[in-house]
Amino acid sequence: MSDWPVLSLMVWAPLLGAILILASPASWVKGIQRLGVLFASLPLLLALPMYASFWQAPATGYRWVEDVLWFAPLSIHYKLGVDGLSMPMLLLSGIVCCTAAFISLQIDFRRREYFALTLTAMTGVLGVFATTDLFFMILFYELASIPMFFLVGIWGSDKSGDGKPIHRRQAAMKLLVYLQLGGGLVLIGILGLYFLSSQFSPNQAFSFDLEVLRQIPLPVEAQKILFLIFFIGFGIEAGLVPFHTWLPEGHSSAPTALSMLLAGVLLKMGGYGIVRLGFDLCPEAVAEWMPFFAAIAVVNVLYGGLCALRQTDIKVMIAYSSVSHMGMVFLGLAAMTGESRSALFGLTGAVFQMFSHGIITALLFALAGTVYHITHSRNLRQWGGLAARMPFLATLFAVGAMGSLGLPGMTGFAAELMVFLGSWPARPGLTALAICGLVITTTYLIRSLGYGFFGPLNPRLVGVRDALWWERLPFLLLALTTLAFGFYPVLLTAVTSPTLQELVNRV
Amino acid sequence: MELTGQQVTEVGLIPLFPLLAFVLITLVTLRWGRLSAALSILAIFSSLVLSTRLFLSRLHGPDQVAQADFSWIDLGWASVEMGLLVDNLSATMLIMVCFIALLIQIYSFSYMETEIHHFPTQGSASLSRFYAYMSLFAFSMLGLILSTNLLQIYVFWELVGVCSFLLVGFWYFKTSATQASKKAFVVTKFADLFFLMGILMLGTKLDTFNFVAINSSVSLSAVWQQGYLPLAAVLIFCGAIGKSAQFPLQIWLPDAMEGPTPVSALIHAATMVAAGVYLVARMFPVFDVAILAGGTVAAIGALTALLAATLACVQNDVKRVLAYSTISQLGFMMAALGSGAYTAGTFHLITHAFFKALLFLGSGAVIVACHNQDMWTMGGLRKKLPMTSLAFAAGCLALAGIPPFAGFWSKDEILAGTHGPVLLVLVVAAFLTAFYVTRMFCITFLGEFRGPEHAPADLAGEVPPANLTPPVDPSWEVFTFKPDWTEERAVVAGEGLPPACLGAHMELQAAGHHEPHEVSPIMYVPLLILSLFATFLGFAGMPWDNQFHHLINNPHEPEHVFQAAMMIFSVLVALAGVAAAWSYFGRDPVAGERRLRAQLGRIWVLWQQKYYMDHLWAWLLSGTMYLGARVAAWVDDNIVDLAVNTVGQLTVWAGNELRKEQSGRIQQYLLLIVLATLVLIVGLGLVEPEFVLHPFPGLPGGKP
Repeated sequence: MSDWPVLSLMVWAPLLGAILILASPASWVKGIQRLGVLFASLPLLLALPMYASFWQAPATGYRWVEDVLWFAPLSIHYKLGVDGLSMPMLLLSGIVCCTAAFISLQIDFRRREYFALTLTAMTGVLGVFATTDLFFMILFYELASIPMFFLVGIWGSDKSGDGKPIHRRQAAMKLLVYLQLGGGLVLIGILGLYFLSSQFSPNQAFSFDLEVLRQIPLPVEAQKILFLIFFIGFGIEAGLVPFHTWLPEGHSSAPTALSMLLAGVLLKMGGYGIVRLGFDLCPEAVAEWMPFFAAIAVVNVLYGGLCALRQTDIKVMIAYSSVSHMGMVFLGLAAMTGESRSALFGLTGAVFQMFSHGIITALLFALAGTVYHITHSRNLRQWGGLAARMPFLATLFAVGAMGSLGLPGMTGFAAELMVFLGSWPARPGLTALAICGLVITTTYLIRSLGYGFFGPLNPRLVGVRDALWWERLPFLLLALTTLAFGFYPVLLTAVTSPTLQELVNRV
Repeated sequence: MELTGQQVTEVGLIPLFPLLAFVLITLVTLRWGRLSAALSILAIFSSLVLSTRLFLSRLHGPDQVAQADFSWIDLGWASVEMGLLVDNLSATMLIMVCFIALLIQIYSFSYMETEIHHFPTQGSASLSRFYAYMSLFAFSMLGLILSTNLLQIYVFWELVGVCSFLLVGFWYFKTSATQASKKAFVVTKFADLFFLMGILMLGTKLDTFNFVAINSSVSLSAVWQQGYLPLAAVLIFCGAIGKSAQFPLQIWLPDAMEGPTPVSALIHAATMVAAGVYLVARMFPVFDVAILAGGTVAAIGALTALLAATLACVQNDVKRVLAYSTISQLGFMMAALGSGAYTAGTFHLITHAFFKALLFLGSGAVIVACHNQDMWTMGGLRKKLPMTSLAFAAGCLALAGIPPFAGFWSKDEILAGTHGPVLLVLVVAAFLTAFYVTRMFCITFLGEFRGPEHAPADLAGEVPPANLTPPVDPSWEVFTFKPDWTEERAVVAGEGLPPACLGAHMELQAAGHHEPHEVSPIMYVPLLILSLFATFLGFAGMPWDNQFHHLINNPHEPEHVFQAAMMIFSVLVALAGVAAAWSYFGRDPVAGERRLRAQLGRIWVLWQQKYYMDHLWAWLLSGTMYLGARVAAWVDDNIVDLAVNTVGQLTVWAGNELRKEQSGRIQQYLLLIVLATLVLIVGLGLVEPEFVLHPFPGLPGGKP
């Protein structure tokens, strides 16, 4: 397998699928759906053996490296590679892409364009995690974000009912502007890095290559500025308060599969980028900025949670809960300023939380979308007693809610525990505040479960059905993943530990 | 001491059997309720066999702590461990939990089948669901007992909490059950926040989470006396306050009685609520040395014992009497542990588990027989349910503390082990205990059967005095977040709706008129077995020959001297309570209750309103979290998002304005060109005068 360009295959498979779908006639519904699911599942099928081989022999450094000089004058390489940090992210992306494609079978108009755009976005998100060349990172990022505009604008839904109404066209615009704002800042940072690093490299060479860049010692002042740019740029993508308002609007308008991709994977690009570019390339700036961002992290946790508490629209609630959970990621990252053991706990916790949140939120969005598809309502108040008619979906929603609120045995708990273990020694006060966020999370998730699925059945919903057998597959995959990794967290930590240890030593 | 490989397997299987049953039931036998029941019972029986072997092997010889640890999260430099800890305390707890769980699971088979028949929408899968949850709970509880460190106990602590949530809300279509399960979960979660903070505080300070290591670090007693570590210990105790329903978080336990009665017996009487006591016992040396923390435990325990006992005196619902009694008894245990009476506290934990499980199961039999929980609709059940009433009487005597029943010995030891104001408060609580137990027994089992038709209208029912209605879910008030379809609407629009839409009211349609009768042997045989324990278990802990003390001996516990005077006093207190209650309820319970209420006057209102604690918490909740949510959501919509949208609109506006420049008129373009050139030259001149004065340095006239 090592001779094959597995990473290229993995990254480009969805785009290939998109091209095939575009080439097929629009009336060929079954074929388009099958092609879509098939090509969206390929990355997962490839990621599983890769993950297994990492698990057997964890070590630092990139594997399955492909390096082609793409544009010599600017020394841009088409370079792919996976290490212990990007491997879990690729596995996560694989799982979310596969399940999102399954959920996309619910789409009932303009399927050809829909699948083509979704698959293109999938290539983008996979590429961001697989590439080690910053130019291609930006390229893949754009490839992921542009289709989302159309997906929200065309296949999205409007929200009315309680609270502020949300229109999908406006939401699509806001989503795109924010993603471009974040991406633009990152681009500025990358260009700064590109030009600065050439001045300090031994042979004055320009490079976008992560492995080259991390060897070059930048002056501390430059690192500080670059770190700030990267943190805010990627922070916007990861829902950093106060740049988070695209999340509730974007998520709630997006079609289900896109919500899953957005919350499951795209948010993680932000956290991944902060670690990859911020921590790894600007290690000396970490101690400067992270104390400040630790406070923002706690704001994220509490503010996101409180906003979620107010929502009646299930998708908006989950979106705000993402803001809250990403705060835990930031808090874990902030532990990098502590001594090495807590730094490792915090960093691993942050990575674990990204993985965990990706899986669990994808599950919750998938469930919310499916129930919406069946009941035509996203308003929790108009659900009610659904467990009587959809026991499977109710059970899975309970699993998702429990995972999200951090029940031991699921990934969320292991992640949050590590974040707290890492963060407490350095910042007991802020960590205590973040811990208080747990009760807010519990309240709104348990309430949504109670309102939506328990109590007397709303007579409007007497005729609704449960999920069909093939509709259950994605839910089961996601639920089993969170249970397996939560029950036995070493499944993830064994893969990440060497890489993260190296990173902690650097900072 | 390390556990050997074989011991690890044997001990590890104790919690794993029920877990296996849970997995099998959810994945395979969900459709076949009886098969699921058999699986679950078989699993807990296997655990019981293993824990009995373990217990017997430890009966002789010194009480050595043996443990084995595995890394659960392993980062190379740091890890989180899970393990198995075996000492005589955990071995005793294991056998107690397995035994009571087994009896309750057998009992449940009959109980749940009856209950399922009441609900037209429920079928065999509900029975499977019940046994799946029960098995999951057994796994979590056994894992909790075997925990070697604070993080592990926190893990299982949360798991038993979620099992409690699932089982309290087992009849998910009832609004009351949903509300009660939510309350139980959120209140205990709230306490767990402080628990987690305490764990992190203690663990990071001492650099270990292991119980044995923490308890041995107590020898540095100077550190424990002051500041940081007692605070951590108090925070850890906050977790116990939540889980064991101590003051001021006792509010969730009475509501949790919405769950099926076997659940109340197992989780909310015998095992889970005792987890808090077990935690304090596990860390007994810490609370013993950190005087501040120990004092807090004793004070909270004594206060809870008294407050809950007063509330138990005014309940109409038979299960609620028992719920408040459980809270009160847990307070006794806490008070004992906080005062240094380790043996007494743990012994009461064990005896209480048996007789309170017995009482709950007995009340379950009564409820099955009468289709009702209100004691005023019962009466005279002694003749109609002879077996049940016999067993129930044994439980009542044990709870009241009448010798030689089990509760007497353990309660007497607690009274002997405490002193000062704590003792005073506990004596009053013990008097009230005997009082409310006798009241409950008289109203339920003695006299003539009243039935719903002849229940005294002024006494029956659950409506508290009208001076303050019970608090509703704050989010309903703060957000107007009420569900569209509620049980109240279902009652109004009831005709023609399918039963699933009626919530709790589907039950009323099914139940017809009914004469109470003795329950099936599957139910009363477990009762009789438990009543044997409630009668004779106390002899294991007689003060002059305390076998139990030798068994779970803790070197940190001060030596007690047997005080015969105290024992006589304790008997007198219990008898006084019984006699006082008999004077009211012995002949004519209805008249007695009217007399009592008249005498209590406003205090009765206060007690009926549970000291307004529910209102206080609801008010605090809406004043902090929900108010915060309102503010945050408003800020998000009107400030953050407004700023974002304003920036967006400004951009659009600027675009529109600039567009006007593209007018196509040559004159305007020329004018702009000239203006722009001028601005550029002037601007450049201001910044770089040299460049404007000598624009071409190389040419003649330029600067050399």
